[in-house]
Amino acid sequence: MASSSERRETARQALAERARRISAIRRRVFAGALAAFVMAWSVIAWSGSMGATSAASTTSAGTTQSQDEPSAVTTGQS
Amino acid sequence: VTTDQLFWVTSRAGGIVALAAASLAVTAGLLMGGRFVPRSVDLRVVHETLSLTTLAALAVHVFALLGDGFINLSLADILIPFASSYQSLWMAAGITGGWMLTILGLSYYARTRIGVARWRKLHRFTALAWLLGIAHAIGQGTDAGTLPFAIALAAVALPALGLLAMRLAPATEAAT
Repeated sequence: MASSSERRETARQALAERARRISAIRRRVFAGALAAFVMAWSVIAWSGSMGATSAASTTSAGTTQSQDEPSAVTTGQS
Repeated sequence: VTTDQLFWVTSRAGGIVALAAASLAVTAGLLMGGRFVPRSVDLRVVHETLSLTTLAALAVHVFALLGDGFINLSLADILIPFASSYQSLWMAAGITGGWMLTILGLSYYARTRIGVARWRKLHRFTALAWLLGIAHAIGQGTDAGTLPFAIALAAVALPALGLLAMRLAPATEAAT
């Protein structure tokens, strides 16, 4: 039969293993999210799409502009 | 990409990640609560981490807009529903959903003070906040009409929608 110190050691190891597993899951999720952010950012920047230009609407700034932010071409930005 | 566009692109990428992470968090939460899979510590950690990731991405999505010199939104515009006249209904849906996600998400850490049973009831409204986020993305999102966005949204949102329908179905049947 295991002594109380052995049981304590087993429990400590189980807790340490669980903490390691939780830490690994968190790291993977955060890394995945960061990778998704970089990918989304790159795709948007690479495609050069800065917004649709089909519908006109008035913004809070009081200027007439497209449904979304217009492209660099329409704003004259490069 | 110019400096103005830098903030705009960052905000859009943040919004996409927030929507994806929220959808996956809802899926994990429904899998846990719906008893579809055995209750495990791992799934709870995935759910919690995805929720925190959602809030971080949401902060990037919202506060990056302040740097955009073209759209010129103020802090009130991005934090108070209907404060901005820019596509106010979709903006309000996003802002309301964002606040709900933040408050309901962070309430997890005060659940013992709130009362676990009461907190569980409140936590169900997270699904509503997520649906508001989807409405905001589809109604106002610059990328909503693009194929990659549609595919990505379908991939993460449809499983959650299916699980949500399965969860709500017995309740609806019981009520009729």
